[in-house]
Amino acid sequence: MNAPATPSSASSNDEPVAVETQARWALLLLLALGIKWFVAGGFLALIHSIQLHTPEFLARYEWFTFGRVQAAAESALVFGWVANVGFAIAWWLLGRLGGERPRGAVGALIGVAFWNAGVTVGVIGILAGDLGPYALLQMPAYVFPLLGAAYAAFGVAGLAAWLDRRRADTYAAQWYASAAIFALPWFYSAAYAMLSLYPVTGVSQAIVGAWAGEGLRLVWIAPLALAAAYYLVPKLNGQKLAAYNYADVGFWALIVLAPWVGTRALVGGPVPVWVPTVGVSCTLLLTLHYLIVASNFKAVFRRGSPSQALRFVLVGIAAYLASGLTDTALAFRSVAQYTQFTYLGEARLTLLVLGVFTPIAFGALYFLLPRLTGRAWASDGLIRTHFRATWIGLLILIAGLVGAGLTQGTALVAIRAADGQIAAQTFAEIFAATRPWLLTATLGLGLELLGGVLLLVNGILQLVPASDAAHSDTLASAPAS
Amino acid sequence: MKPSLYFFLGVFGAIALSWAAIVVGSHRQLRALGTHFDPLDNMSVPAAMSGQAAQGQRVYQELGCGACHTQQVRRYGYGWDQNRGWGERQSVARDYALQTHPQLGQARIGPDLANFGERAVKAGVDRAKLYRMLHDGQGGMPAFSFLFERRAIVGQKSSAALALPVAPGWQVVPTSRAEALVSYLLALKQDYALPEAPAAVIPAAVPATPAPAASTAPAATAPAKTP
Repeated sequence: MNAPATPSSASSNDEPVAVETQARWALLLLLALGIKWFVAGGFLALIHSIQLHTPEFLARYEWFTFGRVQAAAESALVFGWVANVGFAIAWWLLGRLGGERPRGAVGALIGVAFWNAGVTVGVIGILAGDLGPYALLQMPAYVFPLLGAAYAAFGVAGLAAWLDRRRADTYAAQWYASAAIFALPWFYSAAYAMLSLYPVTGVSQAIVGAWAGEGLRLVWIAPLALAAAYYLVPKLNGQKLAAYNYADVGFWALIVLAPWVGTRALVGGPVPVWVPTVGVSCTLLLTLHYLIVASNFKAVFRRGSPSQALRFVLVGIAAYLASGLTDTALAFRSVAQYTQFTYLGEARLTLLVLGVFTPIAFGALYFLLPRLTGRAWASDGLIRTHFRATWIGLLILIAGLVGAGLTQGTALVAIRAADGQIAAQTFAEIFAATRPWLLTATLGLGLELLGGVLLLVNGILQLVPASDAAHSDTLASAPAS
Repeated sequence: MKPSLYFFLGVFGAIALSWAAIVVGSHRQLRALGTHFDPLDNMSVPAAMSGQAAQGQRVYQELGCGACHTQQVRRYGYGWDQNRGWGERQSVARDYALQTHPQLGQARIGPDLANFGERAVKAGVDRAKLYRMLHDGQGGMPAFSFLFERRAIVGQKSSAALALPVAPGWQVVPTSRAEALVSYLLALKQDYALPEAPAAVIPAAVPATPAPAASTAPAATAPAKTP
């Protein structure tokens, strides 16, 4: 994996490359459905967020009861938004960097249609009550065969783009993209086999759930975001990444260590002690990966950027480093005894999906969509407003969830008083104490969602012919190199 | 193609190794775990759940109760589970050995329920009170009114009817799902002794500000609670 310093040499001009012309319809379908799921999943997440501080909201409808809405929102965002848009970006950059014509674009088109049908059935199934108890694995088991077959149809196109590459040298973006495409079916099918097909009993289920759920987080979602970041940052600012020759160490550190960290969530739980201990130790070792990512990108933050697309990507990278730092801090047993089972768990997943993946995907969309449609973005003002809504909303959302989590974690501490009575806050009191924080989180999520709607509006305006005259700074600011 | 082969072997192998070690390794260790025969009580623990309680576990999962409630007591000294009265000993793998859908849970927006059945008996919470709690909601918990139905009284009023102000001739009664869920909640007990999980020795009094010198005194005077 001897790699040149920057992928910007891979395409010599801004003319559409083969993957952008020959896989145009499959890519457009992936992106359009992805944005649709962002809006749909975002509204479900908003209902969930409102129910956290106002439990009676929609409570009389069984389909919108708290646990189901949470699972449906998570599944829609992860398997609708992340899966579609993440795969589109990965396939596109593998095609651009590999320099070969894409194969299997028609199969991909069909696969994508069936995948999205499967996710729709899955989300409706959750709302109807067929939900699993483990994070990221909550869709009903009966959609798995459909999802698996559909993924095979379009996942193959992504792997072909990696295998067909014409250039001997490869880039970090390609490693992360192809590893992510490969990891999703691995973790998901292993979990399906052991939770549904030949289910294990007892706490073994919780171990499978923790291993696969965290595996999907760190070996699928995170690499999808990193692939886009490693491609777009040097591309958009035209400069080499610092310390790039360590990027392969960073990549392998993630791939080798991240599958081991999932069981840290079971610390203190009814499982053999070595199981969470392995998870905690590997989480601490994983710091190496975050340090290398930080050293690759740190110079970019100092320079700032005129490109809107790059600003989105930088927000995502900053959030990724913050998530690495919090993961490490929360891994210690002494910390976890306070923070386990609190809103901080939700904050971690939210930070990865809405904080890391989403801004980077937005940046990639602003860069990629004009190349696919051949039209510039209709409004720069909308892009700037979207950017502000994204980072301010994210900050408020995460602050709200972290504040709620810390309040809850300290309030759960109970003390047995001298008379033998338990002096502890009741759950009604804890609810009242966390409520202002949860209201804050709803506000942040609302802003985040508003940003997604602005992107949708801008995308629709792009299709109106009159918008040809307008010129996007996103398209213009991309370096010609 | 060679470099690609090594690349995929590397990624495949990295995930496979973690799967073999953590998932398969722990499963091999845990699958032999059966019930424990207690010669003093002449019974095997944990006991299998009744049919209705097992149905209730499905209802519990269908409603996503695990989004707010855990069912696992951490050991004394790690967290404050036992000080909160959630159990007299920590939960261990054997407690769940017979469960096909264990609900360990992810968050504690509400209390832990590992020993809810035992607590309910002590607090005098019976089926009627539980129905009412589910119907009305409580604290931060939403109401699950859709688990109940309004029905005309035919003959005698149902003994399970809720004490709610309804039109004369009508009653609000729990559906079969509510009945199963309540049976399940009342069956949640880890009140038996297991050799691997003795009851914690909880000092009768924990000073509000434990000083290193003073903390040994109450612990020494407190008699150990035997199972």
